[in-house]
Amino acid sequence: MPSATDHSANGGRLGWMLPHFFLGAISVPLLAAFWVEFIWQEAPCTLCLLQRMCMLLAGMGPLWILSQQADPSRVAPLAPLAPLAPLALWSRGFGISVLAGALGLSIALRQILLHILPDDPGFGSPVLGYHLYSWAFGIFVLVLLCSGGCLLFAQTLAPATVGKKSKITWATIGLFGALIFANTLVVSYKAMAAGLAAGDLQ
Amino acid sequence: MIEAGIFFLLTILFLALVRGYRTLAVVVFLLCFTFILFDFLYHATSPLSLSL
Repeated sequence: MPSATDHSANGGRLGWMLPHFFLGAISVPLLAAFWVEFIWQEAPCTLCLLQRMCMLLAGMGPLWILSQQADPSRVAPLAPLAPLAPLALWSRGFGISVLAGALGLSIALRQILLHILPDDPGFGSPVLGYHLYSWAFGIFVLVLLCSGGCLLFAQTLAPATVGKKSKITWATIGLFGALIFANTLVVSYKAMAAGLAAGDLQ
Repeated sequence: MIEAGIFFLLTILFLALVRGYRTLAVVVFLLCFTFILFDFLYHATSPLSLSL
């Protein structure tokens, strides 16, 4: 019976660790965004929210790989499809990240260009000397570089995993899922509150 | 409001991935990507964006 750490067929431990690291790393700026929103009391603009969405969408790539690594017990009974081959799974996952990263990079660049004129104070408070959209630009560049590298060496890195997911995998997926749910709740609550306030004003 | 809808779609995408519904996940991913792209394009071409 293969175990959760039985990944030696193709990629070995590196191929198993990379999606975890990718998903964990993309969760850090999303947590930081909550810190800025609730501790510093700075509400995000539309472009900030769009960049946040792109980060979540970029994280769906490694999440795809982690959640679909053949574990028959976790595949829904109604799902009619057989497990993907490791290489196809790996390529599709990081393909998702490339698409999301390119879109996020465009949005971050757009926001940087909106504030590029001299003496423009920028939007929001800078974090460690840079505004959040500048950080987002760097993060999306890293997403593209990492995804490109993983696709380039897909044949070597793609793990041929069969077995149950480890606790680390579930913790990584759980943290990312909690961030998605939290964002959905916060944005929906604000949209409804804004709608109610607009209704009161009429 | 559209942002709340996209986050809701992202939630569905997450659940579809975790539960193993690959076809649904691909469809929802493409929907998310399209909505984010069009929301961005709308924002980029809107006169309101000049007020940022």
